[in-house]
Amino acid sequence: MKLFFFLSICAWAQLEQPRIGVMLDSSGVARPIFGVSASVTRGDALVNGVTSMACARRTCAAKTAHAIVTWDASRQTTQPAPDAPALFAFSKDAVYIYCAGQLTRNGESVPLNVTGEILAMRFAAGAFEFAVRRDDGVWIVRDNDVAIAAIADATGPVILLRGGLLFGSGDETVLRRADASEVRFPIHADAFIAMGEGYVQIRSGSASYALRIATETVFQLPEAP
Amino acid sequence: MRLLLLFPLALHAQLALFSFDGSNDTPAGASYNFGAVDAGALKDVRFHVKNIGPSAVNRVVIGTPQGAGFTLAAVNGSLGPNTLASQAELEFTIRFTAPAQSAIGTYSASLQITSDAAPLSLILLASLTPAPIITVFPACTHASNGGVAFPSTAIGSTALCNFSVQNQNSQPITVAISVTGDAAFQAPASLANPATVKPNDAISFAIQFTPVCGTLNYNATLTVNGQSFPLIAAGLTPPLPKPSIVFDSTKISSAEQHSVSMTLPAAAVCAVSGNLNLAFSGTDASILFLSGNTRTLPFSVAAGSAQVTINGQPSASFQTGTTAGTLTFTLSGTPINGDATTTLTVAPAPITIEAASASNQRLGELDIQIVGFDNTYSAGAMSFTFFDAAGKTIGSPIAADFTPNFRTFYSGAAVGSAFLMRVSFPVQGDQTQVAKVQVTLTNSAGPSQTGNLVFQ
Repeated sequence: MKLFFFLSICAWAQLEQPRIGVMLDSSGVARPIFGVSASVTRGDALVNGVTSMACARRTCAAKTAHAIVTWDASRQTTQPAPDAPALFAFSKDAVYIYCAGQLTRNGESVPLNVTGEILAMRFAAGAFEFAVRRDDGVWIVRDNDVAIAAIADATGPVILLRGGLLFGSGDETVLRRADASEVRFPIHADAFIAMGEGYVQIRSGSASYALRIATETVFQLPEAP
Repeated sequence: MRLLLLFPLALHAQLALFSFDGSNDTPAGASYNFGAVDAGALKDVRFHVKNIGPSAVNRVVIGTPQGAGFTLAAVNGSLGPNTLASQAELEFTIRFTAPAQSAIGTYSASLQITSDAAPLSLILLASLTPAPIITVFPACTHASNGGVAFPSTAIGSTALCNFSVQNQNSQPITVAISVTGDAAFQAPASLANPATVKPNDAISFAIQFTPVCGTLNYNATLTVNGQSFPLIAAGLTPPLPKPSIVFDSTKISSAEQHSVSMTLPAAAVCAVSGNLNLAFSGTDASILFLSGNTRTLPFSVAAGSAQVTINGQPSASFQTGTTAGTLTFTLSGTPINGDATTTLTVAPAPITIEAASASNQRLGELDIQIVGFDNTYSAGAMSFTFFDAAGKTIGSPIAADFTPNFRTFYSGAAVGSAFLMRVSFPVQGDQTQVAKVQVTLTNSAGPSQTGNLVFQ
């Protein structure tokens, strides 16, 4: 048996303001959100004129009219992009961007063969998965149209999460876990935005909500005047 | 000789005189009768002198009426010589006021208009008639401008001002009464107009004042046989019936979101708008209305409605923040019949732990991370109990006091008490044998526990 012991007198504590993630407010400004669930404050603007955005644990990417902006705690980069909406996915060492029918990895083109309107994408277990809307409904597929699952009652936006997905269904927002269990929230979703680790922003008209995935709780975010 | 004969004839046709009622010109002829004018009253008549010839007329001067009671009140040009181009006109006003100590009867004067054309002459006539005596009764009073002041009247109600018109003369008089100006003043429809008042008799009438929403001060003119009396009044907007500020729950805690709405005990008479304000006894910027990210939202009520909207919605959501204290809701921006101020109290509570995790991924360190808030701002005392894989306690709980750390962190804090704390324990030996940890955090309101956190 190996020995161990603590040096309790050397225990040290570091304190900082907790950060929930980054929201995209109704005026197109990306802002950090600080605090705890149901008690948050907005930080200063990070990027203006944002049309699409997503954040992972440490990295965010945003699409403005003609550029892709990516940033983390240490730096921000901007590269030109077509005037079209963008979807984002993150792996450990790369940012994937789908914009104007092209998929890129850290700026390099990635071949893609998926049929339908791509609503969301995620990079999981070394492979891409896409939520696509087709005439026969919304599907989760992999490259070359390999079907994984159907999202039968998805009528609104979709976001693919680690271990589940979130989709709009009429005037409800549905959180569906990998085990097919569901939680429904009475919120009509216009858009979903990954705020960072564990939170998704739900845009609903002029209001915004944050869904904390772990606790399946929703609270409202402060919106611009 | 021919020229001398023709020239005056051509000049004679150049200028023409008209009376003007504000809309139409009427040829004045050789004389103009002002009609009956009460003693003490005045009457103005507007005239136009017009150049109807093909060429300009120079040195046009309106003369002073020659006769008692008539004066040149105004010239819309120069009192001195004027030039009138072809088809141009000059307006002037003649006023008749009875001379002091004047007798009842007919008055006349002559008016001459000279120029380099032939002069124009006009006989002015007026009949001075006995003036009626006009009396106003309380609660109306004489205004400083010589008129009549109505009592200030709440919107939604009506005030009456009673008048009498007496004829103290030995002959009947005809009385014409009119009220012009703001429609809030109304003469009685039943009043015979004009009315004949016998000698030593009187008629009475009431003018009604009914203020409306949106206007505070009102003006009109009562005219009796040419005598004008300004009427003034003020409308009083009734204060809004005291609203009740209602919450979805009266028992609130920190880090909650609630909704607030407003109800009225009775419909608002007029449309009202104001502000709903949220104040806090301490410092916590996370206490705010979510719509607008603000502590003030506009509210409004439509006229005749008891429904209050806040920022255009039936209710507004707000955050309670992460600081113990009192939230105070007040109304401003409009008179209110009472004080609608309502408070909610957030009681001090043990530390709330939103998330906690433990990690053994760094060699020689056991890391614990806790996200939570302390609405008393007194956190610091902690106890860490470690367990092995079998669930047995490893040694005694380790006490730690991070009070100085929290004091430093909270000093000057303006956004509430939320914190993310990382605690690291240096460890020697096989750190993977430490399977779990339970953390107890204590503040002035009591202890809180994380539950068992698995090192991973």
